[in-house]
Amino acid sequence: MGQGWQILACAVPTLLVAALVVWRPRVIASPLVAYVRDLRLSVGAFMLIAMAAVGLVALGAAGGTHPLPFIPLLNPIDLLLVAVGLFLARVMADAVMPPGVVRARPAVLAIAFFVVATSMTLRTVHHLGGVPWNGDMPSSSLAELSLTVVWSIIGVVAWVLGSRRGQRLLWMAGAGSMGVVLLKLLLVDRGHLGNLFGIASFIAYGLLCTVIGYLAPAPPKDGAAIVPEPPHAS
Amino acid sequence: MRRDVVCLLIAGLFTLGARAEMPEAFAYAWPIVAPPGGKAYLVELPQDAYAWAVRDAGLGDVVVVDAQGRQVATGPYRAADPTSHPVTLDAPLRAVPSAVDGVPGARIQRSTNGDIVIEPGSAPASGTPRTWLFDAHDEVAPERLEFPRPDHDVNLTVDIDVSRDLQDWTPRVRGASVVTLGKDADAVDARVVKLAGPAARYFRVRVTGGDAPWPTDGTAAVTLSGTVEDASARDEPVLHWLDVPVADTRSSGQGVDYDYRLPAALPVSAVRVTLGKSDSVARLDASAVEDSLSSEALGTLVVTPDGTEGHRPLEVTPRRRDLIRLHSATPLREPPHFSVGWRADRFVFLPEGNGPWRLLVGSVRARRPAWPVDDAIAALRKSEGAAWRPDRTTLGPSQEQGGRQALAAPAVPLDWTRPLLWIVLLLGAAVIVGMAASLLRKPKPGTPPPED
Repeated sequence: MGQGWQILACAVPTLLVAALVVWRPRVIASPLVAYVRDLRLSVGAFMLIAMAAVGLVALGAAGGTHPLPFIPLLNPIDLLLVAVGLFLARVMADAVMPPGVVRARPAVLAIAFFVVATSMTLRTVHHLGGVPWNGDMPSSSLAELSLTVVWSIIGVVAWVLGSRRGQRLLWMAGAGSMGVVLLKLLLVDRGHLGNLFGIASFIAYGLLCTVIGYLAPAPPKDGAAIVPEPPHAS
Repeated sequence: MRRDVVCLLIAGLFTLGARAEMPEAFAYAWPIVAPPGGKAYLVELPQDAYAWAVRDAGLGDVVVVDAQGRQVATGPYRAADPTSHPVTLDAPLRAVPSAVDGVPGARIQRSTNGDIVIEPGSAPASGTPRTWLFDAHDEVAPERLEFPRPDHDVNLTVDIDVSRDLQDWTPRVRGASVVTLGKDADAVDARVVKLAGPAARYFRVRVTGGDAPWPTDGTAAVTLSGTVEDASARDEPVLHWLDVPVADTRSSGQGVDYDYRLPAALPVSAVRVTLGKSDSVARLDASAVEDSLSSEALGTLVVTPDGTEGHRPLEVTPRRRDLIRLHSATPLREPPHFSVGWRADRFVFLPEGNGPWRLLVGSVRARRPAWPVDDAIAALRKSEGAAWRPDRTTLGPSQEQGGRQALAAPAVPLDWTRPLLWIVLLLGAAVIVGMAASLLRKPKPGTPPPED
């Protein structure tokens, strides 16, 4: 049985208790139903720590899926990470959370999504591309190229969605992601790609940013909802 | 109390039923008739055993059991080291015509009695031959090779290879010098090359430096010294001959293929052919068919009217073969009469447990453990003397055990792991999707917690 199944099996009790805390707190509190709120808070805090630990373990796990083939997203570790992310999103939106936590929710979820997507990408590269899951992974051209592509997609999607929905924070996150991609192209990928492909990648990046900037301009600073309208072409 | 007894009876019936369902591990058995008091016994596999021994098992499914059905220490018998005597012989040097670029060179074959046959290439030979062959007519472990004295000064560099079948060559000496300078008292005469290594029959001399001074008409002869095994002291099984009727005849290319299917995959070590009364001469290429795509070339048999050639067997590397094909480039009036020579594999076992012992053969799953029988036999040879041999045994009539059922592959139980894991994975994905949908349906942050 692959490592992914073993980690999933170990995490199932934590997942179940966490789900009960969020969706069925009375089951946890029974028979002390009168103290359901206090029990939910204390058990929930503990489960938040436990889920964070599960998420950290899953992030660093190669997650073998033997005897089943590895399918990106549809594998024990990736599903576990998505479950942890959803739990985090649900908990941070809970009414008992202080307003500061609720305000920080989009940023925290964006960072968590970015980290999980990176982990999924590297895991896919490991299983489908045969790149060893160890400290030498950053020296793999395939891993670096895959990260660049995935981060670019995340940045572009965030950029476009932020522009269309008038969410400046999301738009800024997308722009930040594209900035990270630019830095990575400059500092890391140049070494892997060589001069010719390195220059070509910069040109491609520039063209992509130009097109995205044309299609998805920055939303207004005040964050007021804007009426979606066709891009400049209309 | 009565209920307990009934339960025990039912359990006993189930146990008996389960025992009756257990298939026998081996297909056939032969009782072994062994003289009493032997320190080790030798068993030769009968021909029928090869029909039951699983070919892929490499005779690992041949075991000997005692009267209680327990395996006894058994293993393939390694023949005692043969004794040998020194020999010195003269062998004529045969020149191999040099090939011309782009034109097929000379074809070198063995005749049915093993002599070297050199068929010149399609282009006339040019230049001094660089390759020379000679035949020792027996397998000689070479120690010393003396080249013929040339009538003029020479300075040669030669490589020497050896072979048992004229096909696979093993390098034996590289860059040896053969020098003859002057004829006076201070003349240099270095024509001897020291050799070592296993015995071989055919020797190839390749001149890599200088021009060979030997005549190409075969009058020059080398003197080979070495040792030859004593044929009379050879500890080897008897060669059995088996006539095989033709199984199939079909046209193939510009000739005819004759297929001969053996009754079992026997360890064939020689083949022999005679023609029918209506045919007088034929050249037949023999090959062992392994499957529809591959075959192993065994050699060429030339059958002449006097029958002397065809009756000389073509020796081949002993290997289990069950289908042998003869290809004749010219049509024959009737299929040739074909015989195979085979030597039975021998096994030695130590008399453990109580007799009578039985030889069991043929199993798809049971294998003989790797008993250290060789060590035991070596110890016996040391204590009993080099001339000691295990006592020979005879086999009684065969007895069917598991029969074909023992050779059938066991049914592979259904592996529930994979479908179960797929279900877990898909259920997990469904739960995740449900969680995400539930989260998206939630009102904005700040809603009260569920009351359940």
